[in-house]
Amino acid sequence: MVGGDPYKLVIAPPAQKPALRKLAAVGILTTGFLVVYLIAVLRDQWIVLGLTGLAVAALIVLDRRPAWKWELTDLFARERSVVVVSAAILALLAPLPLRRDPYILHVLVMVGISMILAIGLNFQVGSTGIPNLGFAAFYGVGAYASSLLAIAFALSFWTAIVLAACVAALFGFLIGVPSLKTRTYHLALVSIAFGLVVYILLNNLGFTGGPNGVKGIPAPVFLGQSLFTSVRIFGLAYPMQMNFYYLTLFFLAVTLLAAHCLYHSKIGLFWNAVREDEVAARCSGINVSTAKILAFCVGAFFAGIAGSLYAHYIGYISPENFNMNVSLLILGMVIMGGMDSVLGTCAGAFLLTIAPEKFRALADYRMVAAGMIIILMLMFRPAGIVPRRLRDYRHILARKRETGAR
Amino acid sequence: MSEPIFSVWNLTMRFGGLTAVDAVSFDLYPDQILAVIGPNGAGKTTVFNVVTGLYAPTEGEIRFRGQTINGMAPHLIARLGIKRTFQQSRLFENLSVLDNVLVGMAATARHAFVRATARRDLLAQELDRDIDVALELLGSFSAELKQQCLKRAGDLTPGDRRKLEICRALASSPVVLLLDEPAAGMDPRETAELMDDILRVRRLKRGIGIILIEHDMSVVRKTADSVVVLSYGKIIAAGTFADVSSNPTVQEAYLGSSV
Repeated sequence: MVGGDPYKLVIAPPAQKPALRKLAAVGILTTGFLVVYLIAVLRDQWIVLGLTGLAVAALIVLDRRPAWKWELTDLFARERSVVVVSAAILALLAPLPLRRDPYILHVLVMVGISMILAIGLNFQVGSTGIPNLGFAAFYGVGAYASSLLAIAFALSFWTAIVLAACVAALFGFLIGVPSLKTRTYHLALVSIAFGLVVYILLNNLGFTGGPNGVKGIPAPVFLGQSLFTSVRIFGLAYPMQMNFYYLTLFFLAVTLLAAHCLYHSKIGLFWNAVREDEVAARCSGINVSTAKILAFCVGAFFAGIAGSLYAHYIGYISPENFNMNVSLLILGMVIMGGMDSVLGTCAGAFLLTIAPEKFRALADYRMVAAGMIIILMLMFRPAGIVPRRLRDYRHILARKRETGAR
Repeated sequence: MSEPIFSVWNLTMRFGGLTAVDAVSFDLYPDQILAVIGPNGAGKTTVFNVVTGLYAPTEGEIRFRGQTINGMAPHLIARLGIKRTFQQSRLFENLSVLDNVLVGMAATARHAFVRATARRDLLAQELDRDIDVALELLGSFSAELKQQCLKRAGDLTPGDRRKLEICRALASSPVVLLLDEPAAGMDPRETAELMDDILRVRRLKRGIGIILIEHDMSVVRKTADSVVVLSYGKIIAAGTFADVSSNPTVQEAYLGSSV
C-alpha cells in the first residue's frame, strides 16, 4: 500500500485486528490532544517551546511521509465514531485540572469562540472563495443584537442567541445581495467598507450606547442557575469560567456538526465549484447567486452565535471589540489554519488566540513574535497548518467494489 | 426530418459598436452533429456564450424544444438540458475528477439544503447513485480516467482534461451539447481519440444534438453532419462539409487555407 496513488487505497484489504486499530486511533488522538492541551495550559516557556517543536516536527514528518499520512487519515476515517467520542470525552475532561487557573480557562473559552468565528468565515473565504475582510461586522451585529434584545425585552440568553444568529444571518443576506455584483479585489473592498460601516454605526447610533458600548449584559441562566456563579463538583469549587467553557464547547460542537454536514453535501461541493470557476459553475447548472448568498448567511449566522457568546460571557461590549483588526485576525486564522479545512481553521484559531498569551514574557516584542510566526508559516506552509484535501470517496468506492464483486 | 430540438433565429449580438454576431440562424435536430467553423474572431464562441445565457442577445430568438430561452440565466438554461465545454479548459482544478463530474450533475440536483441538513439519508442515496453514473460515464470515455477518479483534476494530462470536461457536461444527460474547440492544442493521436469520443457520445446518448466549434477540418469532416460557416459574425455558407468546402466564399474567408 503506497501513498502516491489514492485510488490504490480503495482496494486496500479490510482492516485487520479492529480492536488494535481502535486503540491506535484513540492513542494517537489522545497524544495529539495532550500535546496541544499542555501547550495551551503550561506556563513554563521552555516546556511549551519544546512541545511546540514536537508538534511542528510531527507535521513535518507527516509531510515527508505521504504514505503515513494516508494511513493516518484512513485510520481516523474508518474509526470515526470512536475518534469522535474520544475527542468529546477529552474536551469535556480538559477544564477539570484547571480549577485554580481561571485565566487559562478564560483563554480556552476565547479559543472556542475564535473557532466558531473561523469556521463561520471559512464557509465564505475557504469554501466559496469570497474574500471577506469585514467579518467582525457580523460578529458585532450578533453581539449587539443579543445584548440589546436581552436587556430591552428581558429575554433569556437562549432566546437571544438564536435571535442574534438570525439577525446576523439577515445582515449576511443584506451584504450578500449587493456584493454579488463584485468579485475578487472589488469584493474585498466592499467587505472592508461593510465592516467599517457597521463599526461606525455602532459608534454613533444612539441605541448601541456609542463608544461606551453596552454594559450589564445579563448572564445566561441554565437550570435556574446563573452561569456567573461558581459551581461545586464533588465538594470542589470551580470558577465561573468553566461554565462558559462548557457553554462554548456546546455551541462549538453544533458549529462543527453544521460545518461537517454542509461540507459533505452538494452545498459544500457547489460552493467549491463556485470558488474554482464561477462561469463553469453557472454553466453546470449551479445558481451562483444563491450559493454565495447562502455562504454569506451561514457564515454570518455562526458569527452571530460567537458574538452572542462573547457578549454574555464578558458582560460588556464596545465597538472596539469588532473593528478591522478583529476581521483581519479571523481571516488570519482561516488562512494560517488551512482554507476550506475545518480542522485547519480550528488549528488556526487555536494558534492565533494562544500565541499572544504565550508571548507575554516578551512584553513589547510579542507582536514581533506573532508577526514572525505568520511569516514563517507563509514561507514553509503556505497552504495552512492542515491544508484542505480532496473529498474522500475511498470508502464509498471500496464498498461498491466489494458489493460489485459478489 | 423531425422537429428541431434547438433553433437559433436571426441572432444578433452587439457590444457597443461591434457586431460580434449578425443575424445568425440555424436549426439543430436530434442525433445531429452541427459544426460551426470560421476564421478566428468570426463570433463562434460568442454564439455559444449567447445561447448558454452568459450574454443576453441584442436581437433574435433562441428556441429550445419550442420554448424561447432568450435572456434566461445560465444555470436555468443548463437545467433545461443545454450544456457546454469551454475553449480554454475551465475544469474545477482543485477538485477531484469525480467531484468535477458530480458538479456536472448540479443541473439535476434538487433540495440541496434540505438534504444537506435534515435528510442526509436521501443525500447518501443520491450520492451513491451519482457516483455510479459518474464512474460509468468516465469509464465509457477512458478506463484510465475512471482509475484516476480521485486524482486532482488539475493534475490530468491535456487530453484527459478535455475528456473530463466533456464528461462533466454530459453528466446531467443534456439534450444539447455544445463543444467549443475540443481539439485545440491536441496532437494527432489525441485528436483521433476525440473524434471517436464525439461519435461515441452520439451513440450513447440517443437523441442528443451536438454543436461543435472546431478549427481542425479533419475533425469536422469526420464527425459533422452539417456545417455552418461564420465570418465577421455572419453566416456565409451552410450545408454538408462537401458543399461548404467547395464554396468559393468560404475559401476566400479562410484566405486560401486548404479547406
